[in-house]
Amino acid sequence: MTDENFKEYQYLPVGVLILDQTLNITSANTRFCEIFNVDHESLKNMPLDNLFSPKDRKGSGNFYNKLSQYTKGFLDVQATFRMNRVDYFVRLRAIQVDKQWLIYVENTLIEQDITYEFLIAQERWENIFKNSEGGIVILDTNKRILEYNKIFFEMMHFRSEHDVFLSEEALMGKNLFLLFENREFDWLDRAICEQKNAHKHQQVQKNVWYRDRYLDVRAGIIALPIKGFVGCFIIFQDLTERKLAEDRQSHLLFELQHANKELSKALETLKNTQSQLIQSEKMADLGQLIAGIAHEINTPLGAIRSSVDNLIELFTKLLREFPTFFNDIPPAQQQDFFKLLQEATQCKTALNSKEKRKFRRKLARELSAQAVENTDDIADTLVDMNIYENIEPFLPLLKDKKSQFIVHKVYELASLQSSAHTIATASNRAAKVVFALKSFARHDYKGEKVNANIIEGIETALTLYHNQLKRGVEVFTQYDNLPIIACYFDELNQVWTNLIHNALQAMDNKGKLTIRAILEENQIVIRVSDTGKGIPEEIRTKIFEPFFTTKPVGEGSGLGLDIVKKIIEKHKGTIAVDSEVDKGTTFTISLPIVSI
Amino acid sequence: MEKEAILERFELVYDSETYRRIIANKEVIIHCHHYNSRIQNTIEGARQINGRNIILSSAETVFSDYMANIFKPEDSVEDKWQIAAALYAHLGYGQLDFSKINQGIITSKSSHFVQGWLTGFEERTKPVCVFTEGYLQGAIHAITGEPVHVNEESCMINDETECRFIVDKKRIVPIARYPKQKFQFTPKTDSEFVKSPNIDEQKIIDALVDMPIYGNEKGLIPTFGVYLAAMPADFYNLVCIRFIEEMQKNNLFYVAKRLLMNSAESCAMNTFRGIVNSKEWRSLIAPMVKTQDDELFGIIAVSNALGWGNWHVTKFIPHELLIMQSLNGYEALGFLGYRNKVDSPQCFMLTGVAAGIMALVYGEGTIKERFGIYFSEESSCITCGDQACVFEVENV
Repeated sequence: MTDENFKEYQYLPVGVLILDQTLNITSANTRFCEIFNVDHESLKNMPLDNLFSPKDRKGSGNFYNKLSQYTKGFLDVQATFRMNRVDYFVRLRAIQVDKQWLIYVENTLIEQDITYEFLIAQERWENIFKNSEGGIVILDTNKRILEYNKIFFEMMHFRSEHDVFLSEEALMGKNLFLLFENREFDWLDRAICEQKNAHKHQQVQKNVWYRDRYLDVRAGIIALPIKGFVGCFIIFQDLTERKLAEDRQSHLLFELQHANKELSKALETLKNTQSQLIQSEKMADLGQLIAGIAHEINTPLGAIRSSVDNLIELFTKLLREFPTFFNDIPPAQQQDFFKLLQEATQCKTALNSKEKRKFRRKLARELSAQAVENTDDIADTLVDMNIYENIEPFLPLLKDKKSQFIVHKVYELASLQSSAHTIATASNRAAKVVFALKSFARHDYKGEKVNANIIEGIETALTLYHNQLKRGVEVFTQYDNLPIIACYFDELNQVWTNLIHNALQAMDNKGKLTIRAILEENQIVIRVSDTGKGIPEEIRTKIFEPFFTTKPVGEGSGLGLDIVKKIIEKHKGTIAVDSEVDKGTTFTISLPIVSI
Repeated sequence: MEKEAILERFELVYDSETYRRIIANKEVIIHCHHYNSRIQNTIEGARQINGRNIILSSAETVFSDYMANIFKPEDSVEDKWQIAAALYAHLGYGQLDFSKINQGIITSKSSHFVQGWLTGFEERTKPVCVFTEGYLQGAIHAITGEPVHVNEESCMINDETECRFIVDKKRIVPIARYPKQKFQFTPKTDSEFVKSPNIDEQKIIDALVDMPIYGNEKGLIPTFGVYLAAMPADFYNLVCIRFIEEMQKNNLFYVAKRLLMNSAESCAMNTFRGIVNSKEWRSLIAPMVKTQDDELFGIIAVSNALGWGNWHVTKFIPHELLIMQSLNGYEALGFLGYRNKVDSPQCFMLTGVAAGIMALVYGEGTIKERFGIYFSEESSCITCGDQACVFEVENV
């Protein structure tokens, strides 16, 4: 370029640089020097490279890249120049003239022209594009990739057949839909074609799984006012985490519902089991109770049976022998016979063995003194018939040579009466037990509260435990005149039997059982005390917990006191325990006085 | 000839002292398709020079020499064709079929250069296997003693089923010769390096040396998320030196230098992004990576195992500064083998890679967005008489 030629550029309104083939500056026009505030001489022979800001390696790299591939026309790049420590964002348009380079330089930030506006708009767009949370790709009219952001690249991670990543440059210009190995987005391809030809463009939207990602895919047509359809944009929003969270939530909800059902079932089962356990506890208590009651009934039954046997045997014998016997007795002695029989059948206090032995010896001596024969046997039999004093009226009879035989017959006849008495006593006893049993379960058979006397229930329980109590337990009761209260009588009976049962066990069936039922501060207070081994302090708070037991495995369900507590609570009452190891335990129950 | 007998000749020897990978007495460098495609794009793309010829003739001279050294006197011509195809495949360049060589036709159904371009660059219609043309010219010369032209008539880059090379025997110009003088260099040993306590560099190197980094049945090495290839260091030295020199003839030295550095920077980001996302990285190196900085040290260890530079960190400020020393980089030593000492540094690949790995580890966004956020400079170079090459990388 000659000096003459350069004069043409000297006063152009844009900055101009002339470079030699080594890219050193040979000249700069006035406008360039004005814009960048440099003097012309300082620029001379300066390599162009020195003007590029070290911050803008991208711009200089782009310039050199284009320069190396330059063939003809203008080379157009944006870059940053640094002059006097100030950075200038510039547009460079370079053209080779002969072997020199002519470069038009515009400071786009100063000019405030359309280029500036354009660049700012582009920068805004790039900023949005780059920082979008979605993967964005722009396609041309042939669905070839024009532009995309980092999220799109990382989301798609396109690979070759050998699992090698396609680079960012490799994606440029490629038909997007052919990059999907399994043509997963052919539906989108078709939808875009339809929209392209549609009168009014609408966005396409669909949620799809792509590889392991769940994507919200939205696409729209890009149509310019004059050019019309120029391509389309697609935005891929990765909803995988949300989808997985939703799925997890649904799954959790399902599991929760399922678990709820299971829990309800388990609760139901637990309730049933608890009922069964309670029932079995009741049954266990009842079993023990029944064993005692059975004994209570069996004992009089045994006495009755034995007496009946005795009666049958004696009757048979007397019926057979009595006519002959009676004929053999002289009439004078017949009267004595009946007197003796009358004496034998009179009700007297029963003698114990020791007393019997004592009276037997005394009587034998008296009879012997009266010259009665077979004194020991006759004395034995007379004592058995409770005849051991004032025997003078019977001496004539006893001195008879048949006295032994006659006395035995009297004894047999008297035995008839004593057997009948035994039967009567045993029947009464059995009847009493049966009555207690009836009392025990007669009141709230409908599961409703009934008006009842607490003492009646306590007494019933004591009756039922009579068999166990009588063997070595002293029972003391003290009852105030208690009012009738509305209660679940049967359930309260279970309380008393349970507490009595526990007391017996604590005392090993030997000791003192005290039951007090008194009125205190408008409440009925029942204290059941034993003199057993007591409850250690460390387990005292646990005894009302369900399944807690100190009994060996298999012997107790641990529900006894739990049930007691629940029954008392059902009556809005309270239960407390006071215990001293090796001295005894007192359970105190307070029940409100209410009536139906 | 038995395949095993051929492969015996290609057995890898790794010199742990110098970090050199040697195959059949030739130092080879493992690069991936990103670098090979990029360097081809840069050199070929420069309109001021005949870049294609630089690549082609460099490959021709290197492989003519390489193969001549591999062949043994007892090898038949058939054996030699077989060896030429086997070496091509073993080094990861692809497949070659010499069955129609008598008709002057060679075909290839698999190519590192085609795959590399397709996965690394924008679409291209011009045949891409320029390197292969040079390789074939060198191989034919080594086997027959004839200088020939090989021209890729059709290429898989255009969706052909195979690349088809035509041999033109009417060549008058003798085979290119770029003599390399023997150059002895003893790396300095007194440097102290910054290491990551978490990265076991020796373990990484040992693992990579043991890895079967050679061509599969298609002659490709798709490993670490990239297509790898083992290229003689001589080839890289020659193409870079000659490119710079040719550009310099057009007074574009610093443009050429920038282009090579920029290629390496982009290559490093692409390559190592592929590597850090690969299953090999996940199983071998990722378990050692505890911090972001560890990733950088892991990458440096991998590059050392690939034979790039025996380079180590001497100063490091995360995000801000990285200073590295290369004790016997192939660029510097190769340059001194082919040329004499010079005034300005010549390790353009490592200069660009140093910036690229910092940008990859600490940058954000696409490769395009990360490019240029670090400035790298080779402040000392063995080619200038320095004891080591020093690369200083700063956040711009």
